Amino acid sequence: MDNKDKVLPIEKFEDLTDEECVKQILAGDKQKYRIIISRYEKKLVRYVTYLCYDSTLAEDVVQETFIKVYSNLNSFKSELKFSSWIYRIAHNEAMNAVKKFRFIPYDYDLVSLLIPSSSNVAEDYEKEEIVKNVNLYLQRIPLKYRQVLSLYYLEDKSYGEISDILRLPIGTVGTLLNRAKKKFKDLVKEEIEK
Amino acid sequence: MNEDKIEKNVMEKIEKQGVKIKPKYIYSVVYGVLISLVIFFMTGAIISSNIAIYTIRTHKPFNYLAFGDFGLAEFFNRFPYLPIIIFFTLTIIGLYIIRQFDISYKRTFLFFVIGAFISIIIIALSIDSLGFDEKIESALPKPLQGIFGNQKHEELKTGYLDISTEGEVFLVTKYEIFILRLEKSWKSQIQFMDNDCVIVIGSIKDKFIDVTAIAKCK
Repeated sequence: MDNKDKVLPIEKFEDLTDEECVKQILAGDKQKYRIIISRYEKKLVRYVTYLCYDSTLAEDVVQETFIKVYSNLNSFKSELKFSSWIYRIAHNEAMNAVKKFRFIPYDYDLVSLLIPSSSNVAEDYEKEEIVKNVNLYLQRIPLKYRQVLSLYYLEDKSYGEISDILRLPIGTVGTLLNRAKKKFKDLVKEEIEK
Repeated sequence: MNEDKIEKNVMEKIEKQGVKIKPKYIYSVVYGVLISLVIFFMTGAIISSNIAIYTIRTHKPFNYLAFGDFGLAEFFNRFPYLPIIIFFTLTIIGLYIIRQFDISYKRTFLFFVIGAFISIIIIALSIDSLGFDEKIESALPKPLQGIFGNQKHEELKTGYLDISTEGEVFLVTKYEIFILRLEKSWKSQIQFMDNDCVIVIGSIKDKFIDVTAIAKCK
């Protein structure tokens, strides 16, 4: 194993941007790909789980995504944010998986995966309940609305980034988001009235 | 599988199972091929729409609708279906390829669709108005001239118009018949004058045209 193949602690490279990492990987430093994986694996597993509602399938999809991203690193264009690019590939992989396994039952165990844990147990429990309920409603919303809702509110992406990930015009993202919010509100209202 | 396992599996595949970064030239080649295909399909769409416009201009299929039922068969006979079908097919394929580029989602795709159709038709109309089609058609070898439309009247330079009355002298151009004199006894509500341009529906018998309907050119 030569010097550049040595496993280095990821914390050392916190200041390195994704784009700089990509440059170094392309220059031959394969180990820097660990930084990319550590930065995105949780986020991508979470996002893909929102789309396919199966944590095991989501992990398989994300693994495939990382391999695809690595082999296609040369096609990454600097005008796009790296995070948008990697989310787009994960999104496409997830869509293929959703098409392949059309009827996926809701996985209640994934709730713990979807929320970051804090030191406060009571707070965690409350958050868990909220996420559980939100997910139950999300599951009943069509996929095209679910993906914009999860990207905007749960993944904290901007309109521009969502546009790049879903390959939709920014105006369409706004329209979808408004409709998704309305659908979500209607569902909650319906549930309360019951 | 947990997340550490994802990292382990991915890195193992990269380091031991030979997952490699695809070289940059592959993307340049794919990009070049896509651009060439877009140019190829759009050029094809321009040429076919130009042929359709030229055929409509010279064969005037819509004029035959003036004959009512009599004219329908001739309208269908003269209408340039094939170039129009080719034009739509090539434009749709070209647009499908454009959709693969990142630029395609920055604006509503309908904008590209409308833009492509309008641009192609404007270019085709411009080529037609400059008279290129006539030049190209006359430069083509005779068997190929048919691609610009129906040539079945071409052999009739002069002859007689059989309209169940006395034979009359007339002149046939490639697509139109110019009447020099028509019998007054011919039953028609339209008044024809000498040198009027007319369009007729009928069949060619030797040097005669057996006319079932006749109308003035528009």
